[in-house]
Amino acid sequence: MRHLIPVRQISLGCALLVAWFSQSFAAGEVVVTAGLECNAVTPLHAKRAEWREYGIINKDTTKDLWVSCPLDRIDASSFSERHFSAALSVFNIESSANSTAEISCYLKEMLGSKRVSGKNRIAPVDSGKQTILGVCDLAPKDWTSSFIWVCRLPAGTGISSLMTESHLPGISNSLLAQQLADSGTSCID
Amino acid sequence: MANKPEASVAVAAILALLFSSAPIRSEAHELNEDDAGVCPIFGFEDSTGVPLYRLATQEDVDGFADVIGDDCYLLDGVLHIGLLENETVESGLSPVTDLGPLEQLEVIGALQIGNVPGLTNLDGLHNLRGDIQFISIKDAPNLQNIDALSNISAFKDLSHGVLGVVIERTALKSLRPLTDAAAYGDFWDFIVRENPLLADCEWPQGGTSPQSPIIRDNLLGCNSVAEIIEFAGRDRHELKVTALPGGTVSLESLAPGLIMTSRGLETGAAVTDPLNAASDDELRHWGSIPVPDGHYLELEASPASGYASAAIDSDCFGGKQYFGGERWVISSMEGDCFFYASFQPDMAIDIDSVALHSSVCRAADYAAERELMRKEGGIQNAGMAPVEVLCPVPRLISPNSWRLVKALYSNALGRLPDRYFDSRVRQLSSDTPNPASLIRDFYLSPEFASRGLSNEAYIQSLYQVLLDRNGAQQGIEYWVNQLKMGNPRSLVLDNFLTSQEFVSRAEAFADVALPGQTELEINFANNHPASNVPDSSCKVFNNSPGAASAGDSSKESVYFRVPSSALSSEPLPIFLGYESATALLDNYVLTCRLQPGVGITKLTLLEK
Repeated sequence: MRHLIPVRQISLGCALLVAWFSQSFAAGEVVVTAGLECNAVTPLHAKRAEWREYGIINKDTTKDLWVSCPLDRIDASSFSERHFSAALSVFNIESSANSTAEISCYLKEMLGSKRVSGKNRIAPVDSGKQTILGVCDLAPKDWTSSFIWVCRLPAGTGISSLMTESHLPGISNSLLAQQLADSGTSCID
Repeated sequence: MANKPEASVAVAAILALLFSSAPIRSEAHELNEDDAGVCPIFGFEDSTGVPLYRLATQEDVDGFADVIGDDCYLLDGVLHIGLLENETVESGLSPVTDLGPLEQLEVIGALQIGNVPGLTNLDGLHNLRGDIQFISIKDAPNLQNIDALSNISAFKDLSHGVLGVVIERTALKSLRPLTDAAAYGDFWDFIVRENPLLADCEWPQGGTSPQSPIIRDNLLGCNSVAEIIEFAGRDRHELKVTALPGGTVSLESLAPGLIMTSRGLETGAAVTDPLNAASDDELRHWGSIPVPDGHYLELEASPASGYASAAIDSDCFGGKQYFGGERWVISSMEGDCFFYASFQPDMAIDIDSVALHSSVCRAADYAAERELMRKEGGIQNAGMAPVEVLCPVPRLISPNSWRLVKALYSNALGRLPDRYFDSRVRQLSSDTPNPASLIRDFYLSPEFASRGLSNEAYIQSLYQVLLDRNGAQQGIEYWVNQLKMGNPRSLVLDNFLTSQEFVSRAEAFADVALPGQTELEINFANNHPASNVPDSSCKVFNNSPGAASAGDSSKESVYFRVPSSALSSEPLPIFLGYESATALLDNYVLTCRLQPGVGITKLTLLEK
């Protein structure tokens, strides 16, 4: 007997498998969410911000908008050391006065109110384009620490998506790093 | 708009000729020509003898004040704007596009507008006020609103011929503000036909009702009662039909060929509803069908592919009732009532789910945020106007190996993973994976045996963990019978492990798969529901962080309404089964235009 009743249909999703070739790969869970989870750092900055289906955007025509984006850190198993990878996609709207805008982001590891580590990323983004910034395989200083992105968004720029992953140490164990590499983005220093 | 003096002079000459040859008939109307503000009369309708003012071209409109005088505002007759049937614009002249030069007019006897394809609004007539006898607007295919008539208060017999309203072949979506006026008379016309976007077809609500309303061929909310004229003298009731996402409702006896979807009415091939710029009035009247008293109705709710059942909620059958069927007959409409059908996706088990309290949702900007209230029951529009809220819907992405090991711990052992979790995931991803061995370790372990699962629960667990789906009833019964016949559980397990279905699945354990099915459950509530509140509406967007163009990063995938009539303090679940992510890192955003009092309690995303 080889067929169970009823025979399972092969779904479209199965037909669109994304192959992963790493040996002994043990990636964790990637959490991906919308950039509208980002918050303006002060009420004054909030007046420059708009939250849209495509994320948070600086609608001011001249001033920068500073935002902080809380990140999900999900450790499925506390029995093994876990490293942390994070990325975000940033964009420059087409109508922006800036033909190219420089977006700066800092990934901060927070232990209570104290910053215990951080990495910065800067990306020039052409008008009408979107790109990804990432920091991968970061060893957290503490298992209870949390992570945020703090970004400076010039006029007409924004953040569309946030991505995080807790995984076994090593870039080869990061599904997110692999995905970024596939899109031409390096998240390694 | 700038006047065109050369055209005005020509029009003045024509009108002056008419003026010189036409007798003055002040007895045909209530005003005297000598009254202050009364405009001079140049001609009369042939059939009625009522004073007639014809403005056929834009040049006529522009020269109106030059001819009529700029100090008159009472036009005691029929103002006719546009061309007559089969008439064309003479060379060198222009069709009417702008009524701005008519703003001096405050009172007119009747208004006829016809054959004006370039007219988009009636701005310029905004000073009209008080009573009028007749308004006729025909063949104005780009006329989008009649807001300028907001100060018309009543339709009355002013001895200017026909009494009432005729609206035909316009782009109007609503008859407001005429709806807010009153009508007085034993017999007055209400003829509304062939307006493809019209969703609000109420007649003037004050005064008396029209004797023989004709409302037909309007394609949206006003098309359904094609022969309402047959029911002259009967009361009209409102049936609000709503189809939630996942299926349709057809209205066979009332309007053959018309189907209600979650986006609005569908007339066969095309969705006719102008959803993206839907106004409150449109939302209010989508699916709202005027039905004569005592009319027999037959409705059928049909789940779409991927949805298993339809649940009907209606108060059309005497009191609010819930039904689990698909086809219903309302034998007699005795009053207003609602009928909505919700559909449950036919989804098997959920492996990855994300449940969110709705306080993660936010307004589009800082100012609108002040209208939102966040309580333990969720986010709610606490203001007096609709508010747009946006909710992030995160996704969890993991390799199939991860998902299988997680399912083995949670389903087979009923507990969280232990220190061996990572090594077991690695084993499935190695060069020589042996998933069958790993699965046997779990199902043949003393720990599993100690759970004491029944035969049926054991079989269901094998289906869910090994095949990633619920078992069909006949399949479960077959395997339970095998166990009752004395076959050991290990033998049944081996049959599952050697099945073609499991072998195919095992080949992909090292992969990361896009979801095959996605379901988003959203719960809505209204702690203080009020009658006659427009529906809320929502959209789901798919965000792709990998898109190179900022404009391509966000695409709309679902649009649906949230029927106000179905909302109460008890959460109303709406299930969306929609096109799954097409790239691994895609995520979703829900945006909703919430009416006052309406809130979202929670969101749950299921993917498998």
